[in-house]
Order: sequence, then structure tokens, then C-alpha cells
Amino acid sequence: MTDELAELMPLARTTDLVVEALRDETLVYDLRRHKAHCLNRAAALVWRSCDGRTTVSATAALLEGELQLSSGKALVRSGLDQLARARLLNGPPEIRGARPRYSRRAVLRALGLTGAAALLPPLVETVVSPVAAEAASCLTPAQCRALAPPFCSGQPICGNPTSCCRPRRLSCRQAAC
Amino acid sequence: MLPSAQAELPTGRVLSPRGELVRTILAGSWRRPPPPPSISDDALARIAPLLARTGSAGLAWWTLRDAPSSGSAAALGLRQTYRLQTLEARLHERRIEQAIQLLREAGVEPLLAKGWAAAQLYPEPGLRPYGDIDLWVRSSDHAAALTALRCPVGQRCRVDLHAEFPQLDRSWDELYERSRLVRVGGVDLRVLGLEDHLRLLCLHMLKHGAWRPIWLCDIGAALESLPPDFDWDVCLRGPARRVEWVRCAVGLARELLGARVEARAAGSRERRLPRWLGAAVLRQWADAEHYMVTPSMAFALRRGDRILKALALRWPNAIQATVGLGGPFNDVPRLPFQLGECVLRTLAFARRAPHLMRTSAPSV
Repeated sequence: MTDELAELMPLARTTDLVVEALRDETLVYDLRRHKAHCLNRAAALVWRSCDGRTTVSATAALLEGELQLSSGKALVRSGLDQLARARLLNGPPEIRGARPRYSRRAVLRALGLTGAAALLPPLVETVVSPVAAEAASCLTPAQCRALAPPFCSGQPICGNPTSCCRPRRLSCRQAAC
Repeated sequence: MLPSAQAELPTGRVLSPRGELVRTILAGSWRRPPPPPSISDDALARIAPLLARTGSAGLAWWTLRDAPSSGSAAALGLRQTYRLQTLEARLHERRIEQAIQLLREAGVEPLLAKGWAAAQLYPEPGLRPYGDIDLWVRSSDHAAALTALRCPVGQRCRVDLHAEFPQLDRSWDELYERSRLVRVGGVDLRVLGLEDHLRLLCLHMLKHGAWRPIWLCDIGAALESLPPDFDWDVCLRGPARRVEWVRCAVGLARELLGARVEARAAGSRERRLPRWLGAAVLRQWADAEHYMVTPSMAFALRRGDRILKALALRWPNAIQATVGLGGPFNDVPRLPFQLGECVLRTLAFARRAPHLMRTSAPSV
């Protein structure tokens, strides 16, 4: 990480989000894109530090203290990359739009982390549960689009008597029943 | 309190292995902490889709999350569902706030029951999913309430609006008087009193043939959270047949899911369950499909295919048929009730079919 990046003060997105902190993870629902994300403890810590006043290096020090790991800067960069991809950051553009330079796998390799220790670095996971969608008596258009075949088996679209959720190529789309 | 015995079927026979597995994992699952799971990874994989389809995945994850099997693929699927349900619960609360505000602006004061109110019986919001917001209004306010919810915001609130509670045998004023004010986000809303809510949960579950295990968990959770001043006489007041049904539902929660039923309730209020009842519930829990989550009969007829399947799914189960015909829960064979219920439903459908064939939505 360059010194320039180390002094950046990222800002987390706070609008149009529903956030729920659980025992060991934080769930975030993006009301604009209708996507759910799960942040592990480290990713949540990085995200909460993105207040526009805390520098990347300060967050790295915090993360090193919390997780008892060195190389906190690489971990923070990995976390920021993932948060940016999940559209959970507002500027600065260097981070928000950056092509990920530190994939999570690369960070794990660099730090030599395996087994349980591999759970420590930041992880932002998109939450999809096809079976939950199957359980619903109808799907919203957004829920339908979030599925992939074979999980769209013609479930009705809520509030639209003539539309069903059907496979279209490799995705699921709202279509006439 | 009575001791929480491991639930055992009165018949002692395992008639539905998958239903039995569902019962095993959900017994006492609403507690904090839940009882340790006694189910293998293979068995869990067999019933995970069933649990997810019937809204029990979150509870199943709750029992598994500290167990060694929490890392299995099936458990991770349940965990994803639990996460989504947790977020969905928060989204529902926003919708509830909006719906209440819209109705109050129209001068209508609703009562809320089932869904959100049932979810409050559990340790976490993501454990008990619900698809819509069940609101009840006074019959004279129903038209105004429908109009108030017709705007785009109201449509997004997913409100299932009902006019009063004919199935509870109580007047609106009586129910309203016993209702409780609870806080949801920024609004105070009225929910049914505990006695009326337990009665509603029991009757609703039986009316739909107890096919969702989560409904019996609701009753188990409600029974174990009753305050000392809970008035069983109020809960059980009404026509003798419905009182008997409520007692049966309470008995099912105790026998199938090991719900700890208060001693004074167990001693005088419960009744012996007919031999077929527990087995009928477990058979329901083992079914991968149910007509309530498949396209409607009118829709199947309109399309011209899947008619046989749609018909098969609509054969009434023993519980649903008994309640549909207002029958007793005794040891008399259920086939006459099932045939009678089938005839009644067919006639009712035939009367509405021309209209439904033109207009009905694909759902239910």
C-alpha cells in the first residue's frame, strides 16, 4: 500500500441500507440494488471505521489489535476492495472504483493463513438463498432476478396476476406465465 | 411448569421418517439456548429443503449454530436463509410503520396478529419468517382501510387486510379492549391480547391442516412465554367445538415439540389427542409441496396442464377436513370428513370458477 492510500479516509455509505448486527457478523441490505451482504467481524470493523475521519493506516492498526495479526494494511485494503465491490462505500474514488489489487485469496496466501485463521481476514459475502425464495408463495421481481435456474420454476410474481419467475438462459426473469 | 420431556408420539410408531426428523430438530427450538440438536448431517441434508420451504430454516439454524454439524453444506444453506430472514424482518418493520401511518391518517386503527406478533415470541427476529403483514380492522372501517392502502406506498407494505375476527367468537370491542400497545420502530401499534392471540394461533394452524411446522412452534413459544396472569378462561371461552380444537393444538405442541405447558393448563385444559392426529401432522411436515404455495386451481385449469397434480395437492388432510366441516377431534376415522370437505370445496370452487378462470392470480 502506498503512503498516499494509507492516508485516505474512506467513507461508508449510510443511505438506503438496512443494517443488522448479529453475534459474530453484520448483515446489510441494500435497498437500492436489493442485495443482501454479510460482513464478517473484520469486514464490519473496517466498514465501521469508514467514517471519513479515520485513515486507512489507523484502521489497519485497529484491525491488527483486534485480530492479533500483522499486515493489517493489506487486510484493510482487501476489506475496502470487497466493500467497494458491494457498493457499501462512498468515495474516495481511488478506493470505491479501484480494481481489486488484493484479492482475499492473495491476502490469505501472503499472510500464510490457513484453517480457522483464514476466517479472520475481512469477508463480504453476498447472501442468496434459493430455497428461501422457493418457500415464498410469490416472488418480487427483484427476488426473481436474484435467482438462477433451476430455482425459478414458474413461481408467481407478487401482485402481478400474469407474471411468473422463469428461467431465461442462465438467469431468472419475470415473464408471462 | 411441567418437565420438558423429549417429545414422543402417542402411537410410538414412526409413520413419517422425514416428518419425524423435522419434529426432532424443531422440538424446543424457540428457546434461548435451544436444546442441542440430535440429528446427523445426512438426515439434515434430507430435510433442509423442507425446512426452508416451510419457514423453519431459521429455527433449525438456531439449534445447529453451536453444534459440530454447523459447518455442513445443509447447515450453511439454513444459515443463509436465517440471514435473509433477519434482514427481511427489519424490512417488514419498516413496512409495518408505513402501513400503520397510512391507516391512521385515514382514521382507521388496526390490530396486528400472527406474522410479526408471532415472531416476537422468539429470541431473534430472523427465526420466524412471515411473508405479509396481517392487519385486522373493524368491519365498518374495511373499505376505508383498503382505500388508504391502495397508494403505491401502501401496495409495497404487503398488508393482508382482514375485517374483524369471526373465527375468534369475540366482538371487535372486546378484542380491542384486551389488545396491547407495542413499539415497532417509530410507531406504537396494537396487537391482540395474549389470550386472544394464542387462540388465533391454534385455530389458524388447524384450519390450514398444520402443514407449516413453524405454526406449531409459534404455539410452543407462546405457551412457554405466558405470564402468570394469563387467563385461560378468556382464551378458552366460546363454542365447545372450538375450545376442543384449541386444547388439541396445545396438546400437539406439547406432544410433538415438547412445549412446556403450564401445569394449570395441562391439568384441566388439555385433552387426550386422537391417535391419528400427531401422525397426520408429521405426514404434512414431510410433504415437499403444498397447495398453498403452488399455482391456484383456476390457474392450473386455465393452463390445461398440471391439473392432476393440482387436484392431488388439494386432497384435504385429516385436520383441515375436520376443521373445515366443524367436526370433533376424536378417534372416528377421518375419511368421511375428507370426502365431505372435498365435496364442499369443489362446489365452492365451481361457483366461483367462471370468474376465477378469467381473473385469478397464479398464486393460491
